[in-house]
Amino acid sequence: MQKKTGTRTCFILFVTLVCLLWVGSSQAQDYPKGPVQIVIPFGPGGLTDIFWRSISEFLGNNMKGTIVLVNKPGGGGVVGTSFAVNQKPDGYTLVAANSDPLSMSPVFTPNVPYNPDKDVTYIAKLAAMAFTISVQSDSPFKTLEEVVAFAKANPKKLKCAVMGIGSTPHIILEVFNRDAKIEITPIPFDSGGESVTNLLGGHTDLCIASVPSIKSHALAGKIRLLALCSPKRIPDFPGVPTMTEKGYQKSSIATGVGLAGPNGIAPTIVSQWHEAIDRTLKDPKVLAIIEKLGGIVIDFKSGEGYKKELMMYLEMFKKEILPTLPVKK
Amino acid sequence: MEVFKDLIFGFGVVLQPMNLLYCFFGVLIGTLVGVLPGVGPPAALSLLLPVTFYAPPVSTVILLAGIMYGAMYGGSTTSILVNIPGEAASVVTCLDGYQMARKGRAGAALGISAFGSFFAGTITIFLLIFLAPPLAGFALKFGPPEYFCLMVLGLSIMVYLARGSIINALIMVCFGLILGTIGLDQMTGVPRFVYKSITLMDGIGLVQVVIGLFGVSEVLINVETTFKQEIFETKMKGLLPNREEWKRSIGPIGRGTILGFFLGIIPGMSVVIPTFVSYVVEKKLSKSPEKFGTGMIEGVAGPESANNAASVGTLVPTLSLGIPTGASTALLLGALMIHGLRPGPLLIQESPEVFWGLVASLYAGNVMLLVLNLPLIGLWVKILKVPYHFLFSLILLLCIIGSYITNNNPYDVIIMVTFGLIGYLMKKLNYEAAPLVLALVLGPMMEKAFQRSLIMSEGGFGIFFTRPISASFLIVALLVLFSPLFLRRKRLRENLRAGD
Amino acid sequence: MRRILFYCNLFWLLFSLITCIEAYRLKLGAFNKPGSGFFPFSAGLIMLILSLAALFQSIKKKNNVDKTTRQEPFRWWNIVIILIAITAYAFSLEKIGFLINTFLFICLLLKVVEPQTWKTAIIGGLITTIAANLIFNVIFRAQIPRGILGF
Repeated sequence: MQKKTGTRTCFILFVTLVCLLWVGSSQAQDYPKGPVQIVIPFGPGGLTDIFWRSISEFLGNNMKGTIVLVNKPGGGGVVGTSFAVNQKPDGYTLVAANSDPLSMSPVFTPNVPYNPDKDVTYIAKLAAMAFTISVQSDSPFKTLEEVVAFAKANPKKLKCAVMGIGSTPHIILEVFNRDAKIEITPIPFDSGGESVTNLLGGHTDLCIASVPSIKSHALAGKIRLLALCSPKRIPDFPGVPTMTEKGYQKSSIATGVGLAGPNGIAPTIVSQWHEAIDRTLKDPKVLAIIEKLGGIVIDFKSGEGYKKELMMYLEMFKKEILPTLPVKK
Repeated sequence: MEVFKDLIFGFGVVLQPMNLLYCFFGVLIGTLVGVLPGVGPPAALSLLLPVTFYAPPVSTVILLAGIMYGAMYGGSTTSILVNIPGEAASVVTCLDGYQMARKGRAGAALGISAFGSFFAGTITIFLLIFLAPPLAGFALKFGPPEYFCLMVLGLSIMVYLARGSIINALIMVCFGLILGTIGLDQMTGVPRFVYKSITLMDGIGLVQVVIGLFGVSEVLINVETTFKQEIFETKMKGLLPNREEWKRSIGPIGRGTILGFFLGIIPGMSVVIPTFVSYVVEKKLSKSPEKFGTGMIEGVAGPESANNAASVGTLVPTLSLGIPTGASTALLLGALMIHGLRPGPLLIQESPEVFWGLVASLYAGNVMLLVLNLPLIGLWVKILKVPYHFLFSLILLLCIIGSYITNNNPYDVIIMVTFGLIGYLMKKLNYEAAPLVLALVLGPMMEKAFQRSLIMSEGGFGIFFTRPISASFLIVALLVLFSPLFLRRKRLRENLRAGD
Repeated sequence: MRRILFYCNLFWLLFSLITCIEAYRLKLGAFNKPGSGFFPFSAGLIMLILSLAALFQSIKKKNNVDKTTRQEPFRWWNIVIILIAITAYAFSLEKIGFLINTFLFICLLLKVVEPQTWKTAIIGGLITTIAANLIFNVIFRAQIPRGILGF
């Protein structure tokens, strides 16, 4: 007799326990249940890497989870992006979605193993990295117009350092060449740092590089900024006009910094990220860090908005720029 | 002199307990990072970057710099013990260091490596202080044509690297050059020899090749027969270098220091190159060059000093001009920027405590590293006593993890295995790995420099000869290449005369 | 030995030929505006010349009688096993996860290459796996994948 009641009590206790646990766990959040991996498709030390490392802790707090950053460099961002979008769309593998691998590489680099339209869930755009067109401070060119005038008279004479064929700086140059009807020759280097070094050494006439790369040299008076490729002027250099102001709106391409993942991520997860990013980008501590880096303009857009922007650029590149390039596809 | 006043000020900064602690952590992590193959300073630096947000700028810089040159100390450890280069720069140490370990002189190799690194580190700090501004200006003059001619000079030195057949060495050079072209052509974006593989799109990683060629192939050679014969001679003939070894090392250490520093200043110069150059110089100057590759201590002392000197050298353009010379210095600059510092010519004026604190910490860090590493020699040497039938599996695991970690890509491990097999076959057939590695490093740099130079000159070749620096490199390269011919002719003439 | 050298140089000859052909397809470009294929073609060409020279040399050289008598059997299967084991490790790492993979790997090597007792193999495997996990995953947070089972 006693055994039976004993077993029954046990059973009741067990069921209660299970119910409690079940209730308890549904109070805890559904996502993220564990660390979320964000793939950075560039090497450590690059601007994208530094940017994400600067904000990841804040963002993680706002998401109530941990963010783990993984570098998977290669192919100008293609390798890491392709890896991430081929993972399961459970929201635990995302990618730092820069615009280069998504709107430029599919056009200019052969055999990109993903379709930026169909294979990607866009979560948000966070910011834009502005590029500048600069010369040495003892260069005879004081304004962009002087450069254009000289280039018109001397085609192919001027050289401009860019960060690699098919990268944003290179495309900026090509669009600029086309819109101003001039021919400035690009010299591809491996990184923004290398481009700037060669400009300082006088081995090239112009240089298109990101703002953080040239910021300290400009402030030290060694480099003169002629124009900015960004939607609006930036506080670090209030006197420098944007390409849009100069009439070359199409060249005002800034590299977009965003977040994305494989196709098929649940909309609830997407909106959770959207909220968290919004909160992070309003945090004064985060803004202070980003401002110190310089040249990164906060440009918060929804996933849909980012996708629209990228596709628009992609179409423009395909239709207008690709036919003019000597690069074979 | 004012400089000494600044230096004392710098020491004042460093000797604060907080900063000393940061320095210690930096060099400790750096050493660990250096010991593990495949994990390099950039990985550690990027992991620690968020930590630095909460620290004052000086401490950040001290920590990060400590990691950088700490890695140079640690990298040689695995090279000597198990023939796996911890860093690409430690490849050359494998050549003779590992052979010394097999002869029971592992302790001596480790000791000389530590002392050479220490000496190089301390001397170059002074060179950094006094020579930084003019040197940095000189470094800027290196444009694509100068790089190309320097690479040509580097390749011509290859002739002296060969121990055996020169033709085989040259074939290895060509092989390395061809392997270096695999991937996306940086100039045109066209994929070469990629055959639709994403992994190959970025080229064959140097780390994977080196780990396979040296580490894995060595294991494969050793498992051919049963392990009854000892791989490592167990009777250690003393833990530290003996008198004779010290004497022989003084010259190489001095030369390596100077060579490493001046070569390291050049932006974008991989740290691998100064070590190769030092090795070849020592071989050429030695009275018994044919013994290089069997455990000559000069072959360890020179390159080890060179790689530490070079890593201080890379700080010259970084600190005085704000120009990154590689991934590690780029991260260092990034960290400075996040703290609102402006790396560049104004850094010394605006934030003297950062600059001088850093310089002083280099010295403190070197002392700490020496103190850290010397007692560890005993520990490392004990590892060699682990029976090989267990040790080899650990070595292989280390190789695998090292190759995987760089890109978190399993195909990198496949590349490593392939080169392990290739390395094994090469060892059996008397082909040397060193020329291949150097060509793999130099090839891409050379090609890019060549193409950029041609863009600059709009197709003319004169650019290489009209610029003074590049012209002088070319002349030296010609001398290097053709001097053996002249010597041979002279000897031939003498023999003929003697035969008369 | 001479035979082997001959085949070696033949291999290099073929390799350089293939390189040259592939490089040619990549467009050589003009001499003062080189295309993508220029550099590999030149390297391949030089290798071609070198391997021809080496080939002739190996034919001309007198036959070196190089019969090293081996006291112990040449255990080529060890090499094959190691190569296969590493390859298998690489492919299964992302599926099975670091811990299990490492454990299996070490056990396999210890058992097969230089046979140890089961006890030694398993204990060795465990120690190595735990230590490696500590060092890489915990201290370095190197993010080696967890695999399906979550660890």
